[in-house]
Amino acid sequence: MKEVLRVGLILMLICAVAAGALAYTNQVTSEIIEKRLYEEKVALMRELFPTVESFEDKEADGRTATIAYDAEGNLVGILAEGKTSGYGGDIRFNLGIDKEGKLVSLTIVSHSETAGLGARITEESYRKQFIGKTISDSFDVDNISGATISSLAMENGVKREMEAILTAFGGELAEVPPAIDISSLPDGVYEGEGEGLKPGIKAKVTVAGGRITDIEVTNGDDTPEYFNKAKAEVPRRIVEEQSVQVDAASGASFSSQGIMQAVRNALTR
Amino acid sequence: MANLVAIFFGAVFINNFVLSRFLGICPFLGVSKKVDTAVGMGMAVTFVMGLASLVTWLLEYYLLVPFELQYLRTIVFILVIAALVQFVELVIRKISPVLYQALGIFLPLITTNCAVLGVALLNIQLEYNLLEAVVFGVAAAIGFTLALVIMAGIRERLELVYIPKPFRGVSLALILAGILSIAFMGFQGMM
Amino acid sequence: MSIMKEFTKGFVRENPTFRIVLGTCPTLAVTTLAANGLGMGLSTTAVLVASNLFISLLRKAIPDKIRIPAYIIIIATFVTIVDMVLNAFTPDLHSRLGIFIPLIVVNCIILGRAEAFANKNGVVASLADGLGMGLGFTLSLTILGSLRELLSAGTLFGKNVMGAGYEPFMVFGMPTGGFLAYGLVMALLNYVFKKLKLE
Repeated sequence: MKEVLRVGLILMLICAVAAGALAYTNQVTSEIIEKRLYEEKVALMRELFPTVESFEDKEADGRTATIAYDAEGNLVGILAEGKTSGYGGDIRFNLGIDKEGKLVSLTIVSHSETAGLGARITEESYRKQFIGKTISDSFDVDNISGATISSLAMENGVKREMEAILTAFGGELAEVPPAIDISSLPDGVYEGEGEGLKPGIKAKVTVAGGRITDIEVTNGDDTPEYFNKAKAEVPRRIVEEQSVQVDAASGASFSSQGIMQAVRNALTR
Repeated sequence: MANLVAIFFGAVFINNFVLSRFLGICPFLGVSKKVDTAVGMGMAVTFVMGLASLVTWLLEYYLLVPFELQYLRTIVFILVIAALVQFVELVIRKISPVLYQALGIFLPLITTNCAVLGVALLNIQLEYNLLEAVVFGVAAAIGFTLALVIMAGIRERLELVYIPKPFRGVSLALILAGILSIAFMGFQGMM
Repeated sequence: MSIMKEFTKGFVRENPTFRIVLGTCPTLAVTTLAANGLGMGLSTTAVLVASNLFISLLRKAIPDKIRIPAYIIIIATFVTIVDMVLNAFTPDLHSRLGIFIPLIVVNCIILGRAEAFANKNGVVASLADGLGMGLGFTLSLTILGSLRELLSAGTLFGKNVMGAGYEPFMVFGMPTGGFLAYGLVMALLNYVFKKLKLE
C-alpha cells in the first residue's frame, strides 16, 4: 500500500512539473504567435489593398471575411476563404478581392491533392494566372499537366466562391463593372443587351482602330418618351468620350443606364 | 450519410493511412511477414483506433476546449491511448482468452503506433464531429489492415524467390510499398 | 574516448534511419524537401537530447513500475514545447511538418533510446548518445530530402541547381517516391557497407 502511494506520488509530481512547464511555455509562445499572426494579417492587407486604414471580420451567408476600409471608411477590399472539391478531398483557399472586383490574391490554405501533381496548385506560377480576373472574365487558365481534375476544380471553385463572397460581402462592390480597355478590342461589330426600366435593350457597337465609331440601339421596350431621349444622347456621348460610363440623358436615367449596360455587355462578351 | 461514406472510402483507399499519409509504417514493415499475424494486428489496431477516436474526441471537446488546455493535447492523448491499450488488454484477457491469444502480443506495440495518435490528432484538425471521428478512426484502421495484409501476401511469396542481398529485408519492403502506393493512387479521383 | 563513441555511433554504425530502421513515418512523410528533412531532424534531436538528459537524471528516482508512463510524459512535454516554439518562430516549417511534430512523441527512436540507454547510463553519456542519434537521424532525413527535392523539382533547399531545362521526376515528390527513395538508398548503403567490411 505504501509502495503504491509512493509510486503514485512520483507520477503525480512528474505530471505536475510537466503541466507547469507547458503552461509557462504556452503563455510565452502564444503571445508571440498571436502577435505574429496579427502582424502578418496587417502586412498582407497593406500589400493587397494599399489604401487600407482599418479592417474588421464580418460574417454573412455562413462565411467569415475580413473587410478592409480606407481612411474615409470606404470598402477597399475583401479577404475570405473558399473551398472546392479537388481530386483527393477539399481544397481550401483564401481569396483577396479589391474594390474593383478584381482578384488580387489566391493562396491555398489546405488540400489533399496528389503530391507532385495536383499539389502543384500551391505553386505561385499556377496561382498567379488567376490574379487580376473579375467574375465576368473566363477562369480558363493553363492546367497543371497530369492533374486535370485538380486544375478544373480550381477553375470552377475559385470563380464560384469569388461570386459567392462578392454576393455575401460585396454589397455595391459586386455591381462595380470591370473596366473595359477599348483600345485593345479587335475591329468589328459587337452586339449586347441591357436592362432599362424593362429588359430587352439591344445595341450594336462598331469598333474600328481601337475606337468606338458607331452605336446603333436596335431595340428597347421602355416608354418611348424617355427612351428616345436616352437613345439620342447616350450613344453620342459614348462615342465622344470613348467610355462606356457617361452622364445619363436628363430625365431618362433608367433608359440611359440600360443603353450603357447594353454597350458594356457587347464589349465584354 | 453520404458524408460518412465519403470519409470511410477516403480513409480506406484514397488517403490510405500507410500508403499515402505515412502513418503506422513501423508495424507495417515489422508485422507484415505473414498473413495470419497481419490480420491479427489489423484487428487489434481497428479496435483500439475506433475506441481511441471516441475517447480522445470526447476529451478534446469536453475537457481541453472548455478549460482552454489545448496545449496539453499531445500529452493527454498519448497517455489516454497508452492507458486504453492497457485496459483493452486487461478486458480481453478476462473476457476471451481465445481472442487474447490472437491479439495479445500485438497490443503493447500499438501504443507507439503513430497511426493511433495520428488519427486522434487528425480528427481534431479536420474538425470532424463525434460520429465522423469514429467512422474515420475505424476506416483508417481498416485501410491500415488492408495495406498490411496485401503486403504480407506479397512478402510470403517473395520468400520463395532469389533476392539480391542488399535488397533483402526492409529495403525491398519499402520498394514494394512504393509500388503498392502507385496502385492505390488509382483510387484517387474515385469521388 | 567512450563518450566520443556514444556520439558517433548514430551517424553510421547504428544510424536510426538506415541501420536500425526506426522513426520511419516522419522519414517518409516530411522528406519531400531538404529543408523539411533538416527541420524534422533537428526538432527530433532537440526532444531526444532533452528527454535523454532528464531520464538519465531521474533514472534512480523513477520506480521501475511506472517508468514507461513517466518517460511518455517527459517526452510528450518536450515535444509540445518544440511544437510551440516552432509555431512561434518558424511558422512556415511548422505548417509544412503539420501533425508530424506532435507525432514525434511516438517516434520509436526516442522511447527506444530512453529504454535502451538513458535509464542505464550517466548524464554525459546519455547526452552524447541523444545528440549523436539525433544528428544521425537529421543527416539521414536531410540526405533523403535533398535527393527527393533534387529529383522531383530540380532544386536544393529551394535553390534551383539543375538548370532550366531539367525535366523533373515528379514521382519522387509523391508518396510512392518516398518509399522508393528510402528503399533504394537503404539497399545502396547495405551494398556499400558490405563492400567496406569485406575489404
